[in-house]
Amino acid sequence: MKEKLSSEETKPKEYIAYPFIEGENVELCPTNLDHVKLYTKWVNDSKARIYARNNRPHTVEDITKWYEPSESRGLSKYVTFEIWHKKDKIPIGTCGYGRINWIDRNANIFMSIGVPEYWNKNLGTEASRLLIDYGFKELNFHKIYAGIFEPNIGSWSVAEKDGFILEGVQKKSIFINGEYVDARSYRMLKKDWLKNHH
Amino acid sequence: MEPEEVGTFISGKNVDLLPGDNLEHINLYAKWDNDQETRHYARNIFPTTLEDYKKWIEEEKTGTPSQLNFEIYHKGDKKIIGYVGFNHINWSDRNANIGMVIGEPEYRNKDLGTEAAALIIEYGFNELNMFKIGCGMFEVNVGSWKVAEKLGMQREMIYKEQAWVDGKYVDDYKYCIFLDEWKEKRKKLL
Repeated sequence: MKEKLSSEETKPKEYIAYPFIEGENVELCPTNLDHVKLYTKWVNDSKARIYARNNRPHTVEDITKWYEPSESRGLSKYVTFEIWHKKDKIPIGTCGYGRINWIDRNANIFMSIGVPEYWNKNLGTEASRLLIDYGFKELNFHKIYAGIFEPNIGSWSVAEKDGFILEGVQKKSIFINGEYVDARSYRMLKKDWLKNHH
Repeated sequence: MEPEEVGTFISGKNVDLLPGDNLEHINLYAKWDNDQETRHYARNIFPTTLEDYKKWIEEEKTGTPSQLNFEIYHKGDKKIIGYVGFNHINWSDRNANIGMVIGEPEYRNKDLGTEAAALIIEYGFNELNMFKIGCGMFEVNVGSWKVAEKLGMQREMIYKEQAWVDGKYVDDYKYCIFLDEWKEKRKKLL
């Protein structure tokens, strides 16, 4: 039994954005626990979750925990944004950095457009460019990397459009849809990004 | 220290693997992990306290482990010389990463690490039903990737400028071996 969000719940005016980074069609905003049901929906969505590798169900409480402020006083290992669609005035996905290493100055970039209707519209590409620029110009990263499994062509096309270099392939390292598939690793060094995005 | 204290979990020719994360031996782990020479390529860039080990060991005792550690016991000298284990165990993708430290310097470069690693690879494939086993190290840690090559592992990744070691960015290597490759190699090593 599939429960759809009622039109009442998806009404645009329900959502409020606090833009942190402005783009042309999308903005990157802080995550907002008022939107946690939407995040939960994306994480469990059978189409979207395959590419995000969520192979177990997540409850609203699980997702709330992810986005609750951390107690640590140190620099965070994660930065997460909500991707906000400016024209439609709704959140359409999340993106950010995981495994931030402040000594080696590198991080794993991640992105997920949770609403399939917004796929293949270059919104992910736009959001990724805002995020990469932020990583190099504000967080002072030396390197940004991305791990994407082979069948997730949409994601690695975005990485290649952004100028990421294929660093290598880890053979048969992920089990998905009944088979072992390869994982691609992409890298962007600060010097390579700044050549084209000064 | 006699292995009878906690039991020999895996027996080899020159070394045995004893259950790791032994609360009574955390002074030994702390000595190795904080030692300037030993921690150099293991990249322990922050000090580790005895309380840290207590906390980690207690946390690991709940649920299916995401890491499994063993002490490396030198049979001839009856001495614990280091540790080896799996970390980042992924039970659905059935792969894991090996971590190893020979903490006592006089036991390095004697192929004891190779033997200990071979024992744990065999354990991973034979008992834990793993599909792929890997390990990683920095390009400058030549000793470590020579061991990986002796074990028949392939270098599948070079992560460019991934880590800050000795004042510069260095590459990170990733090695791996699959079950079918190990079936051939194990004959020569075990």
